Amino acid sequence: MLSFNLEYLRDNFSLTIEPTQLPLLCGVFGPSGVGKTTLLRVLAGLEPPRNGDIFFASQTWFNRNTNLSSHQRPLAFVTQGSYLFPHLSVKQNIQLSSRINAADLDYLLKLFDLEPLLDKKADQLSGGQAQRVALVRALATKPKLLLLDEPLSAIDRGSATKLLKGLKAWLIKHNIASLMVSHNPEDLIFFSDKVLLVELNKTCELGDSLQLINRFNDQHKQTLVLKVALAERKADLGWRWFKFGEQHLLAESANDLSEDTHLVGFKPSNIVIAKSFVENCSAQNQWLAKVLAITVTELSCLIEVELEGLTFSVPISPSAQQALSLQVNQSVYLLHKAVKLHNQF
Amino acid sequence: MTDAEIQAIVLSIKLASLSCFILLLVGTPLAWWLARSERKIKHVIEAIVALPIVLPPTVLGFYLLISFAPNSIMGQWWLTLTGSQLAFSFSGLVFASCLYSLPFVVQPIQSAFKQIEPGVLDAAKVLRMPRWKQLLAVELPLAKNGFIVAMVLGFAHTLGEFGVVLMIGGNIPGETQVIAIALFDHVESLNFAAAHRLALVLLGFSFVALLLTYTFSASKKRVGSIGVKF
Repeated sequence: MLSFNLEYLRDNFSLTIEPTQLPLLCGVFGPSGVGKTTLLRVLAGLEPPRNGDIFFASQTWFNRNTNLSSHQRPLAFVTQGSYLFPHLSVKQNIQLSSRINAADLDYLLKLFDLEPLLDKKADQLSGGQAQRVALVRALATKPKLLLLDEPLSAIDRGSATKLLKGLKAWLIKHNIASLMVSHNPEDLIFFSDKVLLVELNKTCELGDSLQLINRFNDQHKQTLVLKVALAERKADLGWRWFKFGEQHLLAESANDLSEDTHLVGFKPSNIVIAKSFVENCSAQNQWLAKVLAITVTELSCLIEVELEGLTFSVPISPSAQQALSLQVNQSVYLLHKAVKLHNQF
Repeated sequence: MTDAEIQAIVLSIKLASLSCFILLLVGTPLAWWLARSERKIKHVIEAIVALPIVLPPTVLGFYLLISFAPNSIMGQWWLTLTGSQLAFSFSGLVFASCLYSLPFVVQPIQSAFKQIEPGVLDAAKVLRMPRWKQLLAVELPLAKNGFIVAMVLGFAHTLGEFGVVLMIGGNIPGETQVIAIALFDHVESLNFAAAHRLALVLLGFSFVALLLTYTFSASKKRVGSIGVKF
């Protein structure tokens, strides 16, 4: 398993990562420009760290005396730009460094829907097609560690969800450790229970992906994620009712829902607060929550609420707070349009 | 065309082909090192390689003539090794041509290596390809246009040489008399009809060479253009 203790320099700041024992699959999360890609490049041996050490299984990849070059480290790295070899066909790109048997390769080609593209030149592919080829090319090298930097960014959401499911299953089946950088919280939470949160001038934090990502995204006004289960309540075609704790949630869903838990992302800024249940209202999601704190400034008002164990802040206007006169510990209803919710996983 | 003229053309083509072959062998690793190295000394080497572009050919020819003299260290070493002297011989011409055409071969290849997207090179590294495979399967094919331009320029430049060849090789028919010198001979003896014939051969060849160079320089894709510094 991978462990490292690194200090690396980027744009005049250093980032220290304490010795960490990572799980088999781990997400990497943090603000833009903090050095997530650099971290992967350092682990891949493409950039030297300022100092520190990197171990994988019982092998030393980097320390004061050792610095294995990239091709000596049993890893593969899929970068955001696919960087296929433009002079080769898709098939040649994959075969050039392939170490897996024909049956496995066929499975991967089917999984990533590459069979119709095999004879195309790499420079004739769209961004999404190139990313799929880059993923198969990396998996075909039979790596022990797979580094993924926004590997699905150019692929449409529907396909990305399907591919991530297939990719995760492949990694677990073949016991391939993986670190994945992504800005999509649902992707990261689905990919791994653990996430490495990288922040400027802070020690990296390894923790529960749902908790860490929701905490970080609440601070940065980004999408939060609810872990939900399928409810028995019937919904229209393309829509599903889910439950979390005692609450119900209606969301658009095109997935086969054979799994136990699902993820639904929402933005607190899309929430409307009401003091009581609203009858005859288009918002199908009305969740009972408790006010934990109220922060009023001249320009805005933040209502910190607790919803089935998840704490986050809902921004409302000062005049809305004047009209509602919300109090701490008060029970409120959070209204959310169902059309703004989508179940990916 | 007279036998002497045909002999000069054949000799020129032989000289250009041999020089081009040697330059590709020597120039490729040199160009690769210049494209990839981050050492400061690289700029010194780049300047030395580019010297023949700005140096008058007679200056280079003069220094080579001195170096090849039978009483010089290099001249003596060559004499011991081969039993013949370098100055005023075909071998001397090849050596001088290689030096004189070095930048015309090294620079396009260096530029082609530099134009390869760094991400593509990184991809080859992180797919665990050994270094020889990275070079043979990725770098050399992607630098293909640079090699074509280098071959055309190296060949054409050697074919049109005059100053260096005259200084180091003299004007020995069948041994060191190349097209440009034969042309000079015709002009000196006021045989303008013969001079026109040879001039036309050089003009036509130079035009075709430049046409090929610009065609391959323009046919760039993701790897970028093949720049040639004159």
